[in-house]
Amino acid sequence: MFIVVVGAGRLGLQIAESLTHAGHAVTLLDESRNALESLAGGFSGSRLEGDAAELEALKRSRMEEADVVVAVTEKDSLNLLVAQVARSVFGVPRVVARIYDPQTEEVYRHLDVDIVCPTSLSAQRILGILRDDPGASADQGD
Amino acid sequence: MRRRVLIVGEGRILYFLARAFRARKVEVAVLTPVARDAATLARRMDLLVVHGDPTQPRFLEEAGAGRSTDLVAAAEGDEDNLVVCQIAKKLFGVDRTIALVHDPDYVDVFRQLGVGAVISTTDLLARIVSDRTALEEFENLVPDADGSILVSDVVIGEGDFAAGRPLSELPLPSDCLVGGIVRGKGMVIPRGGSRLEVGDRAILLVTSESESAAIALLKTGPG
Repeated sequence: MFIVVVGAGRLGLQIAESLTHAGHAVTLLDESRNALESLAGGFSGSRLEGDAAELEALKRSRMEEADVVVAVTEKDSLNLLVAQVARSVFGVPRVVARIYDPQTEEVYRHLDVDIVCPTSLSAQRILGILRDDPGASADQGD
Repeated sequence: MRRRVLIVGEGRILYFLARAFRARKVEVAVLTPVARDAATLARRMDLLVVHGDPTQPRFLEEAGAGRSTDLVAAAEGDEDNLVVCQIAKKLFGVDRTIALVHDPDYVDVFRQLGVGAVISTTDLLARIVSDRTALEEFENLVPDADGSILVSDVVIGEGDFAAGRPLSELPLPSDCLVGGIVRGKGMVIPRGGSRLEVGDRAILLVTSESESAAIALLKTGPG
């Protein structure tokens, strides 16, 4: 598969590396050259320096040929822009976006995009741990 | 419902937009992520100013998005303006959303994604500059005319002398030429037998000395 990962933060880097190791063709887009260069030597995909908020930069990533786009910059709004452009302009079949704000996540839930909300995920996981711990379940009230 | 405009973004444009709406007797509120802009505005104008990230629904709510009929998104980032307009519309039912964008490529994209109106300042400025260039090239076509040749247009009204008459029968001054007739959405290149009809705009090429005589002839006839 050809996958475009937008955002070379910790999450983007880890996803890009794992996907190339799994044999996929990956392009990683970020506006910071430093971030792109911090990829370990094992990354065999391409690095593209560009502003994800510029349509031309998204075009240069050959997004219209991608099977999957993963939008994981540090900004919710930028991920939402990239995800919607990937779906509506470039017709990418599968799009995943990270959204930190759970309230925003709810607004965009109907969208044809898979949204991952780290806040909600962590909260669920932590509550799950507390539930499994008999010492904490009493305080939780359920 | 009374009109209420929520202005979102940063910088001096907030103040001047707020002032412009205020002058038109429209209720205004401002939401800005920049603490300094919020403080300045609150000091200079008597209006609701909220400091917070406008892409987070709770700040839009605090700024009264639910009571607003219009929202102007004038933030620095195009992505913020898109998301603010979408949330305002979907979550708070704001009737009309207007986004400013820096990247002109997003004008059509944002409209497709549900933003009511999209304005590209880059595009506007580029167009003004290139129109200006076109105008200068046009002026260069008549370098010896000393600026004394004018392009003038006259709308032919009901009862005007020229209405219904062929051009060949109009005793226009010799230094005046009807170069074109704008009719509806089209343009007619006139010949001697062409007639001017009510509602037409006649485009005249005329020396500055004869301009008023030519217009008077078309309107009221010789005399």
